[in-house]
Amino acid sequence: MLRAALLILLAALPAHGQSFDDAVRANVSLATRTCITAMLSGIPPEALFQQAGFVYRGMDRGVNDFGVRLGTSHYFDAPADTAKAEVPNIGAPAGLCTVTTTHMREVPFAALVAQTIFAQFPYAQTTGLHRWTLRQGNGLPLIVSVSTITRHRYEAPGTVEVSMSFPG
Amino acid sequence: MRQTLLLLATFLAAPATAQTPQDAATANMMLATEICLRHQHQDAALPGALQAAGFTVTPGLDQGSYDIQAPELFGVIAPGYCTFQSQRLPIATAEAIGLAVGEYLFPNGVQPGQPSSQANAPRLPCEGFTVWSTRPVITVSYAQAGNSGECVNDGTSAIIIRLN
Repeated sequence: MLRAALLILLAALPAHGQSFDDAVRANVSLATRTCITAMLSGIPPEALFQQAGFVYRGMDRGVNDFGVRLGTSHYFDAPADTAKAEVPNIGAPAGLCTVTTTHMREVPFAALVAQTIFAQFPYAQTTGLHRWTLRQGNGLPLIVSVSTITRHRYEAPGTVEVSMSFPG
Repeated sequence: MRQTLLLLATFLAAPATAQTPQDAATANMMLATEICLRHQHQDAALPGALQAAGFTVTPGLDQGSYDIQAPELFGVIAPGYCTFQSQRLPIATAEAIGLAVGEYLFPNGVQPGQPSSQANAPRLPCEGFTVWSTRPVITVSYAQAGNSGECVNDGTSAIIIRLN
């Protein structure tokens, strides 16, 4: 009975509407594509992410108990906290790019990342569980991997992450 | 810190003491690593901090780089980069130094492997660790001394610290 009610309710939604889960998947995929483009092109990421509709947010991490400056986190947020991307620097090529969300588990998240990668790079290599390598021209291979954050990060435990960087 | 390094140099010049070249290499590698990690987000202050601690700091071959010297230690620093090398320390000792200093300065902020490492996979030799509590993250890896960058156990070592 409840299910039917839900179906009726959903049917009444505007045609262009999407569920929150759909928005999460769409924004994770878009952020992943944007990260890959930024990494492979060397274009400073802020232009690419802002063009894609993400909003920049800088966060000064301050100084730790040992007097060490911890630097600034550079985030690009998707609407409604569906997903976010992070890069080490702005105004310069990204040496590392990550996309995180708290709204998916690792297995479906990795499947979505794989789908996103292979749609754009059919010849990408799967080099491990939830790990892929993209090769373009004579450049360094881009290593892309998915993991679940358990500790040592600013994100909540259980957050899933796709991280990409060049070797070395 | 300056006193520490000068004291080591004094010991080296006095064979009667118990100070060995390995002791000097260990102490200076540890001190240099700590100063570099402390100043990764304050590039401009790094040469002065090393100099103040007693290291010899001279302009390097590349613009913005400096050569670093101390008893049993040679190094190069540049914006976002430090490497300290010793002919006296095996890689295992350099790894122990790097991890100890990293975990001391960034409690709960250190994770084995590089950012490109696969989660939960066995770590590669010399792969080192990543400091995830800083932005950009800091990576620490190891190699034999010299320019090869290879993970070869020949009794020498290099600690390589990068701002990623």
